[in-house]
Amino acid sequence: MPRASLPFSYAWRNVLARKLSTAVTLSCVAVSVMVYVVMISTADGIERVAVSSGDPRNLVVLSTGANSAESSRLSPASVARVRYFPGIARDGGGAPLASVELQSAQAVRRADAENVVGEGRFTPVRGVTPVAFQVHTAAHLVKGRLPREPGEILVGRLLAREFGGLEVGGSLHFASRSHRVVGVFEARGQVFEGEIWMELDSLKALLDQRDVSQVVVRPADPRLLSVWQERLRESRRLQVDVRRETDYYADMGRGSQAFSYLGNLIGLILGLGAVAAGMNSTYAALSGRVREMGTLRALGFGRGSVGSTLLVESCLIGAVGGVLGVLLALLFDGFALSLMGLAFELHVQPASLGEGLALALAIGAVGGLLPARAAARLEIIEALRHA
Amino acid sequence: MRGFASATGQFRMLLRQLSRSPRRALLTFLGLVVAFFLFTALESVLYTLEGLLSQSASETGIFMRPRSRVSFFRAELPIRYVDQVRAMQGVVEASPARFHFGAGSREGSFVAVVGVEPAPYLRVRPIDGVSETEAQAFRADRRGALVGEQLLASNGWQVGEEVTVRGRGRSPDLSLRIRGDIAEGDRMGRAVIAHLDYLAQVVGGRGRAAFIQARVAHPSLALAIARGLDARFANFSVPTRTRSERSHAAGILANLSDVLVGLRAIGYLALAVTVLVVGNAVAMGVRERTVEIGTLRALGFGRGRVMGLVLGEAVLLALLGGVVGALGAYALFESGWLQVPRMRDFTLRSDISVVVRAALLALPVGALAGVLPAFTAVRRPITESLRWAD
Repeated sequence: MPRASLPFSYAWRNVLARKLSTAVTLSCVAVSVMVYVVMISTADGIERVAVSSGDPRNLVVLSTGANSAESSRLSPASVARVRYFPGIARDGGGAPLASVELQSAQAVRRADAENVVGEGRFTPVRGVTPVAFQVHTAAHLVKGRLPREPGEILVGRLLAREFGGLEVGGSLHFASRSHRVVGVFEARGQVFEGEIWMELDSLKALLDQRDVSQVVVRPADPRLLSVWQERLRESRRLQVDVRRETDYYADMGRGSQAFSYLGNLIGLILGLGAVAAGMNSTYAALSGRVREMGTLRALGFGRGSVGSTLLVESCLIGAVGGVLGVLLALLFDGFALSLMGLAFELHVQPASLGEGLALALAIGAVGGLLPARAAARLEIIEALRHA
Repeated sequence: MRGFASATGQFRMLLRQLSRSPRRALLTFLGLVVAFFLFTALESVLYTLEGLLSQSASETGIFMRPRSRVSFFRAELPIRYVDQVRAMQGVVEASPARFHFGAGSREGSFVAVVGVEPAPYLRVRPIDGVSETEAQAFRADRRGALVGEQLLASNGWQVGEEVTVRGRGRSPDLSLRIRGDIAEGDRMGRAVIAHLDYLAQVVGGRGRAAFIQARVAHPSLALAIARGLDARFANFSVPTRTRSERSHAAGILANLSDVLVGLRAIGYLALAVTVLVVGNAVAMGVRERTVEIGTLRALGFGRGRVMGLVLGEAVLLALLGGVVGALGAYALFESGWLQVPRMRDFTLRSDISVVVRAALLALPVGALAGVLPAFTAVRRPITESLRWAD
């Protein structure tokens, strides 16, 4: 007698028959998958913005011993020496491609905000000159104009979104005064998009500060980058550290590893819980259908096909739960987040969606395995007598 | 007496119910353990973060910084301000402080030196692990230093030894005599505390501090004094911003809010789903026992008692799973075995208060899970229940 296998629709209809159990397992799987995908995407986002930021042709000049722009301090004399260091690239008008910048983290809030937790959101504020847009080639104005006077600022595209759709004409409050947004800029997903840019001199005045944080320079000959880097660093008249701009930002993204580690761990733990829930409901499905299983066996369906129908049911629930979870995770796509000094947009990558679905199927398979084995081991006579 | 007997009887019935379907009880228990483990673990991470920031953030401590500061670490505040801070009514003591960063005995190691005025500083804030003799030796020696236990260990330094904090890049070396060790748990447990005037002499920048730390006589004075000080310096060359240690810590936490909210949400989400899981399992049991429940009611068990049994089953299960899961997470965190990759100085900790909170949450989880099945159990008329066949 041929051993027929049970049709897929049999499994499907059984899944639909026990609505409550199915719904519970679905929600477990969906939540596990959603949390996992969102955490992995966050780690991705941090890493992506860190790795993509900066221009490989640029060098960042900081004061000796400074790890970041925040703790670096260059005097006007040093700045002049760096700007006119031999071998620097020049723009059409002969001005050196050296962006002199003052960087500071300020507690920023919307000027029209009423209830603020703490003092607002710590946001990098960068004082720049117009040449910044030539040195940071990714950055370009998309709306409005450049700031001309104190109290005028540019905001990055992401920052504008973080503050609830800030537009030209809106205002932000920091450093004890309100600042008017006169333009919005983009920077191809680089860190700058989460920053506030303003005129270097205005920021200096605001912070009562003569020194600056850093100079970002572009050597004329990109092949000489490392030679140049050494020459600047060794120069007697300067006390500076020089790093490639891309390395500088890549270092900032190191925290992403902790995040993906956490995401994997939480995904795994939640997955275990979902396995327990799924197994419970598959066992219940089995105990409610022992006689039916016996009948199927008596009709000629083999042990394998009776057992595997339970496995198929469990995997089906897993798959549907996974799709739900992925859809939920997609709701977070495009969220503007700032973590560890990096502002970025959450993008759910197809790869993490795939991993989420794989997690869901694994939950389904593991949860269905033992009940399926129990079903396959049923003896026909006993199963038919089962009360 | 009778009440007690009936309570134990009830409890025995609950256990009997759970053992009726051991596999289901076990799986549900596992689900609960996992959810409460995760919840407690996440809350412990938050506890660690909050602890790091508010650790010994004293209610009488205040911090004064320049109002428009470029960076947390730069020394921009005139040291002479400290005299006026001390003169302010309600201020017990104040000390200026500044930072210096260098390298220890190993290549690439990192040492943070905080320069303070020793005598006032020790009155502003007692330091864990520093004895009176050590404090005295530190005050008396201009090149003396108090060093965190962890730094001593990682650099192979000893108390009494003369050591060098090497300057990074071109900044000069700083030689110090270690006069005492700071307990690891102290906020300064990873730092070096040195004399401010000596530090300024070696690395330059005399007369400037990164912040002034002060202690006020009573917590209720902190806010008023902070405002008074800022008003006094408003028209000085460097206007100030003074905050209490508590609000300072709260400010940093607010900045991490995206992460904190996210982690907390995941923990509660796990518990919410668990309510469904437990509810489903209990409902399955109620369904299977329809005839039995009918019999009990025919024997004279009231609706309330039957509902109590079902609700009790859910709560008992949730409590067991909750306590085991929470304690499991606590044990893992307190074992010190957990390490965040690339952040070796950062140890995740937990606290019994976190465990208690998680275990208490097991009660509403169980109750919510049991309430619907409890109603289903008594809704069916007795005669129908008795005739019921699955």
